[in-house]
Amino acid sequence: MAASSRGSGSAPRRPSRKDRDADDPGPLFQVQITASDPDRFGAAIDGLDLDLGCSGPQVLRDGRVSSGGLLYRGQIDALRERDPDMEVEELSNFTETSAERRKEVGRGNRFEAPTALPEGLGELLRDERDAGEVSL
Amino acid sequence: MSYLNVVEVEAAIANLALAYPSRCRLIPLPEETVEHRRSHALSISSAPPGTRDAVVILAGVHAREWGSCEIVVNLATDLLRAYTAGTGLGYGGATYSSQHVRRIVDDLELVIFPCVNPDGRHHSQSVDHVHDGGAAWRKNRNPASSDGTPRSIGIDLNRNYDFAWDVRTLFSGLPPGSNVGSDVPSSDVFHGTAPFSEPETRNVRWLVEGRPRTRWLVDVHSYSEQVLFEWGDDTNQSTDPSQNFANPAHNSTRGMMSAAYGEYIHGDDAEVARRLAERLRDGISTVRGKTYTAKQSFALYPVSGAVCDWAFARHIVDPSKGKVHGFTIEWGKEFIPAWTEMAEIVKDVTSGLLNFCLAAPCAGGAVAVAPVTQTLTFNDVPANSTTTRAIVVSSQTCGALTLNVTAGPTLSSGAGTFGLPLGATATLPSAATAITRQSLVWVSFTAGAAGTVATGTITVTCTETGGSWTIPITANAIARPKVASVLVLDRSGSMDQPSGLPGLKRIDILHASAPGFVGLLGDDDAIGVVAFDTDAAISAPVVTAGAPGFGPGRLLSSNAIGTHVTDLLGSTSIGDGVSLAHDLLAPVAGFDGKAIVVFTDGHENEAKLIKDIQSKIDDKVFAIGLGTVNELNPVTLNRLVSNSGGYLLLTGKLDLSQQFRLPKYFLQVLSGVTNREIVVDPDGLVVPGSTARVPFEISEADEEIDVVLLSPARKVLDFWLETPEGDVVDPSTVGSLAGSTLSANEALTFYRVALPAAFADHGSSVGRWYAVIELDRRGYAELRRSSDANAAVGTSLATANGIAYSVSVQARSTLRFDATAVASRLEPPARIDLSTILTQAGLPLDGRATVTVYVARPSGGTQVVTLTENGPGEFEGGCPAPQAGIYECHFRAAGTSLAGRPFTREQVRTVAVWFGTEEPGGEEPGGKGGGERDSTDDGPGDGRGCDCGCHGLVRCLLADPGLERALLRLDVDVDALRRCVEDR
Repeated sequence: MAASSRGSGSAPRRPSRKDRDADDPGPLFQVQITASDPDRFGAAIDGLDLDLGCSGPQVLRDGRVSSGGLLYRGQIDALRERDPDMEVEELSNFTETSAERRKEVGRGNRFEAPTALPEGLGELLRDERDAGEVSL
Repeated sequence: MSYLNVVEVEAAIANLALAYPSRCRLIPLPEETVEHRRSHALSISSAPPGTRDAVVILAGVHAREWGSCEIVVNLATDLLRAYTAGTGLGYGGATYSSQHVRRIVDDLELVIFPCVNPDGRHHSQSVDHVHDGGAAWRKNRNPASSDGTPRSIGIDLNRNYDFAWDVRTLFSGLPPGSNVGSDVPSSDVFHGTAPFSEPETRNVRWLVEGRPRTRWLVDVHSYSEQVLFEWGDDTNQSTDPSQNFANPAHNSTRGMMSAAYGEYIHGDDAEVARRLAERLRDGISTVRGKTYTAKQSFALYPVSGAVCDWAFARHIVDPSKGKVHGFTIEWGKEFIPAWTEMAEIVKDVTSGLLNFCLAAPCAGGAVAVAPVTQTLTFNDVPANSTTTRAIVVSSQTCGALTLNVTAGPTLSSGAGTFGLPLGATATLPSAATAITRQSLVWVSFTAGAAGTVATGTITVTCTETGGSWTIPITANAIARPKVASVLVLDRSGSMDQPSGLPGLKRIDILHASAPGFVGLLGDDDAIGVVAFDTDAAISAPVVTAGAPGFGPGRLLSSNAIGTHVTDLLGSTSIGDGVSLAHDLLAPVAGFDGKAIVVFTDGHENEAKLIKDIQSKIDDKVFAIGLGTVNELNPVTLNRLVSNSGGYLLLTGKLDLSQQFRLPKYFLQVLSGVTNREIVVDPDGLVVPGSTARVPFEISEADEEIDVVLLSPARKVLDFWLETPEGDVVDPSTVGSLAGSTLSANEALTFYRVALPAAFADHGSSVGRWYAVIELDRRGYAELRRSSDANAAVGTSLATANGIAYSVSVQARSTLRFDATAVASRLEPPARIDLSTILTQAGLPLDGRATVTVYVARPSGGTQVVTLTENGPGEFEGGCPAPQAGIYECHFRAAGTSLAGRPFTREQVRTVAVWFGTEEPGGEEPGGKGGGERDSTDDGPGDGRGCDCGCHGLVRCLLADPGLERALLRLDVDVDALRRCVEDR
């Protein structure tokens, strides 16, 4: 019996491909946005629901405020429209680069064999001296 | 290696655990994710689990920050293979010797949780469409709050911890849309429906809570090339502890980077956090020159519900938990670098983590020291008395530390004097780890006159750092509540009769008991003695007690008791005695209370009677009756005490098992007179060559304690106290404790200890103390051989196996316990109604205690009654009193104080019921001392006092449990018979 989507009011509705295409905001860009001061920064981003990354905006030594972020084209345009003086530097097309990175993710399970161990990236060093302090 | 998928992360650490079983073990996490994934952590240490300080390292919290998992898997791999190979490790310009590797694996436990959010990571690595977040996915994959909207799926796990989680309330001053956290599901920082609503964060909590020795937590994130330390909700400050995450008064200013609020952090904690973040940063930068920044987590915008803040806040919210410094690494300049760059970042951060692990135990070499005490306060110190308080300085260093008082303590204004009872220097030795230690600089304050206020300052300087802190001091003096009392002692002829204790007359045990009352009085209390038989006379005027042992009031009254002798022809005029005591107290001024304590062993039989002097009973009156109900007159004695605030205690018939009853009654009455609390009051036996340890709990409500030893052979007992910290307070050390003394007289030996007791490196106050009594074999043997008369008495009261003792602990305290026991009727069968009230600082102790009453019946046997809390701090209950005689009701309360500290309280009350006339064994005035009547037991079967009618006789018979059992065996319905008699 075919599943019916009617009459199941509370069930989450997964958007159809057509819906998603219609709402598609386009690619994400990794950007660095910088304003002259905290107030202007706050006013510019207010209500835009921007993804500003993990550590949030930082105050630079010269008093400017800067933050990385992942923004859609529409959000970048909105920022520039709100405050023409705001710097919005497009660093990369995240959507494109992340698609490339996926090719670098392991397939299957490279450690399926119980004897398969990760390769450490550190260099094993024979001691040349009794190091009291770390050599940094 | 390139990026790991979620299956590979789990498999990699599982295989490491298989390959290095003696150095690591796999830890299964308890919670399954929404997409039914099971996670594991890896514990690395050559030592058994739980025996080393632990570093918990988290990764893979935010899904799109792929490289974090690879960093920590690499850290585990490198450490294990280098340790096993006996080599060091190198990362570009940074090298670590084999010794460094061993120090980490041998001296620490590394707990690595490589992928906290596997559902999110899998989504990020496998779902293409940007509408579903794709590779940029940050949160977990819990759809519960999404309402079917793809972007609303998931919770930001690093906003889901129980630290300032309620962002809308705690950060109400922030504009909506800030990065602090959000209660809107579509937000990338949606904090979930409750703290720890997510299985992934509950796994982290389980991991940390299950390792009490966790001292550091590092959370690996990207990006921005920073190393962050606590706090994340606002700017750190170390001067105002009231500005803290738990204080709702700051909800409208928290997180706004304004001068109005900063999150409080102890100065030494801030220093340690900064120093360790710098060591982590240095380990990173040395590899290939990357310039990471070490800084406080809060910068422009706050974060709420973050794991590092939660980890650090735990020990503040619950001081029983260990302190965990939290750090966040934000590696790299983008979330998902090309693997070639990521591999270099893996080396950078692995080096940083190794350097951190090496630095952490000794706080990166820091000498972090800062005062915890912002102001030293002496509140309500009794006038002319001395008390001590400590300036607490917190430090975290492996080095030795010296603190010197470089100025003061100086009195700036007011009355009183400040001092340094333990000198001007406090030191800490060097230590293996920089775990938080406290140094104490003790300051004493001797109060001036009541009502005066003193202020001052003291400056403390740390030799190692040069740091110097000037601490303000405030103090005030209050009048010590003091009481004037008069002992009214019977010397009628009956006092020469046997007491029931071997070889002792009643007058003898009075001589042995009453001095306890005099000895334990406060120095400012006053005491006098009146003796009465046919008439009354002043034996000692009312004089201030003075110093323990030899104060003038104590000497006069002790002498009066010692010379108190029986008048063999004397009658008993209690009214004369009380009347004279009242007249003696009337002109005495300057006391907060006055009390009369009557001791008698018989009926009043000589005018004035108690009923004749009712108008003079305007002081607090206590009465102690030595004897049975038929020897005494509970009705008239109750008339003496009722409505006065005092109470009546009756000893009943004494035998060797009750040798401490009378002296303990005197001590309890003293506690009632002076408003002190009885903490514990146990009896025991110490055998030769052994030690008896009597525990007692002291709470924050207790300000001064008296620990009293009663024993017939105290001279062969060693007696000392042990504090909760294990210090010994004995005759050689008590003198060094400000406000503390050891004293003894004919009746008792006691330590009086002002709290806290000041020791060089700590103060002793709250916790479990012990009174310790030791009997050495030689002393015991000498006692038994001695021909000394006093020793002979002691020997007669000792057993063949050892020496009997009683320890009574009394406290001046704000935690009060009042008990009442009254009979529903004078004749049996009656019911004893029991009630108590528990308060602390005037507030009812609601739902914090249990009260049990042990009711000793006149015929032997004890009934245990658990009282019910019928109102806040008010307990009630009852038990039957089917037999004639005296019921001793021993109340015991146990619970936790307002600060959650254990406490106990005890009280004894007696209740008398008897058959027959209202006044048992009543005798007309003009007869001889009441005690001459009959001193036999007043238990069941004693027909004296029964009314003469048939009903009275039957009632007497039914009160005999033996007869009752016999009747029951004959199938006689005893209850029906009893009802029948009562109905008539």
